[in-house]
Amino acid sequence: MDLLQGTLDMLILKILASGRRHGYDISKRILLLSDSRMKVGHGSMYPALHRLEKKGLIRSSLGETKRGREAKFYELTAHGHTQIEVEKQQWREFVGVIESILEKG
Amino acid sequence: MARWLVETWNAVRFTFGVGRKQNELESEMDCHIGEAVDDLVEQGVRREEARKRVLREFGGVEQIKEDCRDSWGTRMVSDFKRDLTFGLGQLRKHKGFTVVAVATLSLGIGANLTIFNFVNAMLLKPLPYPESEQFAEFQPVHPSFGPMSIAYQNFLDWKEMNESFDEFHCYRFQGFTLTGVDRPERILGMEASADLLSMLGATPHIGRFFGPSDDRAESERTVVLSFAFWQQMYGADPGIVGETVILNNNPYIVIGVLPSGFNFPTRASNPAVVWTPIGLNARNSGFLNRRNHPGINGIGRLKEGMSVDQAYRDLNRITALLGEEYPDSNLGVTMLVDDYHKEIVEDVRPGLVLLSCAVGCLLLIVCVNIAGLLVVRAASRSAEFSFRASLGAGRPRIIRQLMSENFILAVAGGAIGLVLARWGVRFLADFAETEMRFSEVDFTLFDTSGILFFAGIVFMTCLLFGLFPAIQASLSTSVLILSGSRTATAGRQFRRLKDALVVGEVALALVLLSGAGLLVRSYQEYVVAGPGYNPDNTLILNVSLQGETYASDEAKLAFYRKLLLQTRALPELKYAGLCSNLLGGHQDNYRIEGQPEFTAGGTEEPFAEYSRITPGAIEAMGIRLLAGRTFTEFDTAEVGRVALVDQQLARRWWSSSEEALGKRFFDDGELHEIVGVVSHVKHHGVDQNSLDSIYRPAAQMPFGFIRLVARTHGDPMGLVESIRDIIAGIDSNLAVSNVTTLQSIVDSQSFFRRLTMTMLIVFAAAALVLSSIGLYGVASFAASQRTQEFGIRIALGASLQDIRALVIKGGGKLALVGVGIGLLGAFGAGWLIRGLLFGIAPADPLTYLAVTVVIGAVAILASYLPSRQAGKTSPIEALRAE
Repeated sequence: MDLLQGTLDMLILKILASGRRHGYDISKRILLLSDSRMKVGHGSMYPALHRLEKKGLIRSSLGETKRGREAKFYELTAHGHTQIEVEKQQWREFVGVIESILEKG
Repeated sequence: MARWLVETWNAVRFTFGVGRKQNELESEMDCHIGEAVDDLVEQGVRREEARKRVLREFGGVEQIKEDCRDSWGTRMVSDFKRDLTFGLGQLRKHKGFTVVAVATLSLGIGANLTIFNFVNAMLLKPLPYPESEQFAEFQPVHPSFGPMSIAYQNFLDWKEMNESFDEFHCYRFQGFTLTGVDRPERILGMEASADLLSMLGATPHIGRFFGPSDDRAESERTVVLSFAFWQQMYGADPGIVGETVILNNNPYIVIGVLPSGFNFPTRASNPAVVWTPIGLNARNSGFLNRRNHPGINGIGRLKEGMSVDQAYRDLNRITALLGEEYPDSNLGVTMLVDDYHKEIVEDVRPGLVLLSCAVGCLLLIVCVNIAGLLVVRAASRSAEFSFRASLGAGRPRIIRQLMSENFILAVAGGAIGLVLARWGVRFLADFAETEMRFSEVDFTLFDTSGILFFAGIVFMTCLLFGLFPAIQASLSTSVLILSGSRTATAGRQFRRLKDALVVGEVALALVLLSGAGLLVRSYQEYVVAGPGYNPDNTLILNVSLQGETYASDEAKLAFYRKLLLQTRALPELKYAGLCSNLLGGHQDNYRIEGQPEFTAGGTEEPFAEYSRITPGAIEAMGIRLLAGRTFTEFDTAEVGRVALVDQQLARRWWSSSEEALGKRFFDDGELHEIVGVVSHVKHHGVDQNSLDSIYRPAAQMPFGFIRLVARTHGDPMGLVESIRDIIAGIDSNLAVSNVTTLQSIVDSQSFFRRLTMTMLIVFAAAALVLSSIGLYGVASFAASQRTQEFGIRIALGASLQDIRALVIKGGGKLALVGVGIGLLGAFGAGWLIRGLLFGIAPADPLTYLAVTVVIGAVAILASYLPSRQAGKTSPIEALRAE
């Protein structure tokens, strides 16, 4: 399944809400949580991470993966935490509107 | 707000950490690939196989890196250099375009820099005196006579009672005859308050300046010499301090020398070469009289924080008190207080503002023209942009790349413009210093404000001509990618923008052209109106009769007779005459017989410019006699008082010039009979209001300071030596000064008008050429775009004329819209510059008609040329072309 445009940022924020992760970990996590139905291309995920970092929603630091590889870990900033709620709210509204159109249409 | 700060901070952090970021990105990718490979290996895939799969899945590593870098916003810095290199290559490839763009830009920027330099030097930079921003001029305004000079007694009262100035001074020019030297010389002096020099920040080159004790009637006479005069006359001898010089037959002790380059008042036509304290005159009858006085000028320095308005109220409060105390001279008089700098440049400000607007317009046209060229170029480069876009360049990336090319153009144009401006400034500063007498302003091109203006104009120009076409070009790529071929859609987009640009260009050119037209028409009217006299071939010079020899009227009259007799004997001479005042300088009141006496606060008191003249003076000046007669040798002191008046005075009181003859008026308590009416003389320039004139016979009231007027058959300056010899032959002690011609006076009066007009004509002509190039460009572009269409039309039976008509109609329509919009703008502009016009209305129909015809003709020509090309299209070729 392809990702709807604009939803990747929200998913990344949501996944980082549970703690700091590195890029590969995030993509695996999305695959896992979507029961392997949704695969995020690396080509879109890294630009998204950098975009979010530039906006100040996440921050990055160096750490080690479980296998001992040096990796860049991302975590939410305070601003990112509040943003998740905003994004969720917007998403639900969006889905609600689309659904009501589909019902009535 | 906080979020904005965070984002900004991140952008800055990212920008300065580009190198580090680069490495982090590499290792991040490596980490991702490594982890993915490890996962697959754990699932039992062979490591080599796993690596291949991951890399395949991962896709273009470089593309991802590029996308990430774009999201940092740091690409701009690193790409800029690459863009510049690429841009240079592009510009080198299209030499024709580059040359046209840089050349027109340099003209536009050069013109703007030149005019800015002028505006900056004359209007913006402070005058070269300390705290000169606080300097203010003050001048009384008579209820009927208007602004006039100050009476010394009033000056003393204002100085005493005002609360708004911390320095309050007066000055007047005064001619002196220097004797006791080899050849007596008539020199210009300045009589001023003792402290004026120190307010002006002057420090003595040698010796000292005046103190309060030098500035009284009973003080010993002292004098300060100008630096130039000290060098010329006394060979820069420092021993001059303490020596005595003879001025107007009085001994003056030299106490000091002014610093070199010092000049006051700013823009004085002739600098004073000696300064003396004005207080030496304090007991002279004129200086004690509030009504009939020699007239002095006032300048002061406002107290800190005091505004011109506050000073205005302050001085008017005092003036009202003086009006009550001395109603005879002061009732109804008000004070004018003006910023000194503003007042000094009053005459040139409107012209300079107009020229600034004009060069701004010109630069705008240049920008529009280049924008037009860029749009055409973008259309022909669309394949390049599509290619770049398909390789992954985003719209911002393409815009940035195009803007880098534009930046190179703007900087190159700016650099050449700077060289042009240096020439322009050198050329014009010469005029400014001599003709406009701006000798003390600083025309440095590159001071802080100059550099800021230059940087600003290059940047603005780049945005103006480049941004819109660049956005347009980047927009077109998406269309092209989707459609896969050159389509009409993209072409139409380009054309519409280009059409709009041409319309704007034509409109701006029309505004400039009509502005120039209005000034030309004004000057035409100015010349036709004339000054009221004939300035051709007329020499004027001054002779001063001083001292005991010429104390009596008989001695003066005898000198007049000898001088005129010998001068008239010169073969080149047509007419010669003497007058006490030339082109104004002595104003006085009069009363027509039978009119009620002037009472303070009652009717307006009539004033006129008085001059006493010998027979021949009216003819020598070329003033026309309209009724009656001029003076003859028989109008002597022994017969009744007679006078000539000008037409303006005659019309004020009677219905015709003839009716004025025989009428009488009072002056100095005596009745004068009007025996002739002459044309009105515009003393201070054709476009300046001037008072009525009254002429009286020199024989009835002789004068010592003589203006000789000599009209000649040939070059008037050829007569100078003969006349000098004649004067020296009569009395070798007499000094001749201010030798000039009437024509040069008239020329200097109209100088700034002619300068403004000439420059505006040049700018308007440039605008016309540029906009016709623009129109030609759009018409030929449109014609070439429609080759296929024309081919089909011809195949279907259209004639060459039909095709030509189509092309001309296309260009004509644009020109028509441009003319329409331009005319609206021109009316507005005409109204704004109405103060600079003379003798015509801002909506002068002739100007607008002429300008419309010119633009129309140029527009038709510009679209006719490409139409000839289009007409030649053969249908087969046209259809093959695609």
